[in-house]
Amino acid sequence: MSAAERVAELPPEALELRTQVREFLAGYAGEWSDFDRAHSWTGFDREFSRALGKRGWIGMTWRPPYGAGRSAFERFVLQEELLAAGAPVGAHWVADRQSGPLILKVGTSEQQQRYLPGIASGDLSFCIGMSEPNAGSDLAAIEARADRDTGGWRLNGTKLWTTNGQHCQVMIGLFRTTGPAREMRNAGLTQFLIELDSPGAEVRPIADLTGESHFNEISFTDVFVPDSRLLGREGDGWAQVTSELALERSGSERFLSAFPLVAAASRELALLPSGSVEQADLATLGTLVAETAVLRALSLTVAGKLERDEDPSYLAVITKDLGAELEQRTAPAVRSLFDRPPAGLQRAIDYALRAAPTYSLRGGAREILRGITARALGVR
Amino acid sequence: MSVSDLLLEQVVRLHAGGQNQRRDETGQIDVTLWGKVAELGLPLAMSPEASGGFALNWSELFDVLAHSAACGEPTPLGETLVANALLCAAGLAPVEGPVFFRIPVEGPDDRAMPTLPDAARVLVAQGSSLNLVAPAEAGDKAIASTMPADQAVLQSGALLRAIQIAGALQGALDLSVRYAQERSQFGRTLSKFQAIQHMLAQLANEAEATAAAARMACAKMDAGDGALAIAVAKLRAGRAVEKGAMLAHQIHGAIGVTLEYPLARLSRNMWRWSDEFGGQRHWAVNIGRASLGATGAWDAVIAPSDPVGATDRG
Repeated sequence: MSAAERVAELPPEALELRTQVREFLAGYAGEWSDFDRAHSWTGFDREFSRALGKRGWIGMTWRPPYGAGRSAFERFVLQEELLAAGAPVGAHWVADRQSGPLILKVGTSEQQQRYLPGIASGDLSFCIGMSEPNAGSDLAAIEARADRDTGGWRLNGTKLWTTNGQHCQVMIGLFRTTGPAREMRNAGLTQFLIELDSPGAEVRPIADLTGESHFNEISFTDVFVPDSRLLGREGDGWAQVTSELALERSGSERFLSAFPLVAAASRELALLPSGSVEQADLATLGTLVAETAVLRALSLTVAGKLERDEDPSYLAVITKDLGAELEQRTAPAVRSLFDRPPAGLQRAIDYALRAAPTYSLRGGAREILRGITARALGVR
Repeated sequence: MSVSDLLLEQVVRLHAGGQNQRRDETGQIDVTLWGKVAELGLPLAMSPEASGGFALNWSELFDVLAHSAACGEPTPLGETLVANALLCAAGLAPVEGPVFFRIPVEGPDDRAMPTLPDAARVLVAQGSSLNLVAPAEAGDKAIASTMPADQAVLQSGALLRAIQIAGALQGALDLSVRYAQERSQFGRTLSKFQAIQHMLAQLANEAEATAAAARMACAKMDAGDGALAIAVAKLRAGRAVEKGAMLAHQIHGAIGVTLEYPLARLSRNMWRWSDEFGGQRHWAVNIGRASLGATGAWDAVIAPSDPVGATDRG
């Protein structure tokens, strides 16, 4: 295992884009409270996504006609600026990150024409149909089935922990098309594009620790999907899901989810009379910033690998594991900087504290990630 | 093959066979190895060609410096190489013998220096001055300054330590993986236990994060804008030592705490290095101060890995 790889350098066009993104975000400066910003990429705002879409900032790396074929570094800068500002990107985040790229990679041209323009304009939202009541980290245990029917398939089963599912029009769902789970494990799985207004699909929001409902349970009772909605190849579901997960784990949302709190804290500390911020508090702030800076460097290395079509998963998994740890430390650390934080910031801290347990669960639990790293080290 | 690749190949070959004589900072340096290292011209690798050096930059020397540290720094290669670059930059002649860094502490200092060869020199940083002295004078005597110990010296020292810590963590990880695969308890190797696997993964996290931070700082230093990136790298390296050294020792059990086992050299070096040229508190306060303001924190996050001049807000 090599010690490290060179941190990629952002090209001029990416830096130019950053100026444009900052100008664009400045227009929202007064609109989002610290509490709004603490929602990070789970915040759902259709109009905001449409505004991004108008600028060509969704699916920007996709080849024409669906995207502008821009570089992974440009997307990297766009994403990190949105996350640092705590912009409500939830309406397009999943589709831009993994659903769109998957459709582009394995979808039919009819599927690409049907879905990609809507994603790119910010009108179409996708959710992820992987986990189930009895299949969380052990994804190969899924039981939801797709059985052949005239001209298509009948879906039965339940998908769980579907972020923003109540607001999404389409799910890419993983279903068992051959044999029972116990025998087949990760074989015989197939992905489908399921439009959630289909008869028999039922979406139930789940209230969580934050008092809000991000997760959903989506049940399927004899839901019909035509053959044309099978995504990729029958039986290739596991390989397709694995490539999706690599994208899901490699982005800067894996360490920036709590960053808006740090930005708010540094803004508030700067309002104190000059020189009155205690050294220990500067050290706390400096440590949060430094750790974020290092994860950003790692993430940039991952982006460089994606741009060169190399497998980034080893560094991506490490970035996500360390990132979740940092995100979970952030709310208590920011809280420690104030005897009594300003009311807006206090609300944001309270929210982030209650959202924090999911940071090391979503996109692969901490234990799963460490198992992947251990395998790469040759001990598993 | 580039000059830095060639040097790395030779350094790897020289250090192969492992158990070098310099067991820790209280022991002898490996004089035989030093002779071979000096023969290759390595002590001048960072010095300008006019002074007989290779004029390599930090990024080009990262692997060489990290590898030497991963092997327990059996010779003061890193220190000498950097000291010579500093001397040359100050218009002075480089030295032939090995150079050690010495940062005096207030009050009684029980950190023993190695028994040094006669030709060795000690670079003592004290207050605003930096002195190159013979080993016998390295203690408490005030010696005429040979050059100012300005910010650049502090930065060079901190960057060197960050790189060396990255190397030492990688060395500790390699030792830990090997030990976990060899050692059996309860009828299976340690590597089969999930608790051990996860500790190894966390050690890899720390090693990779430190290496990324140090490489990032090298690139910025080479580009003439090292201040913030080095602060970040040295702080991250120090934090990685707190966690990484304990993980490596926990994986090793009692054998790891014996001076004889190579891990001891690595952890003792790491602890010393994390304290030198600014400990965690020094750099954390420094970064904290640079991060104040509505956009300060984010700018400080991206500046260390952005191209020079890219992060100025218009």
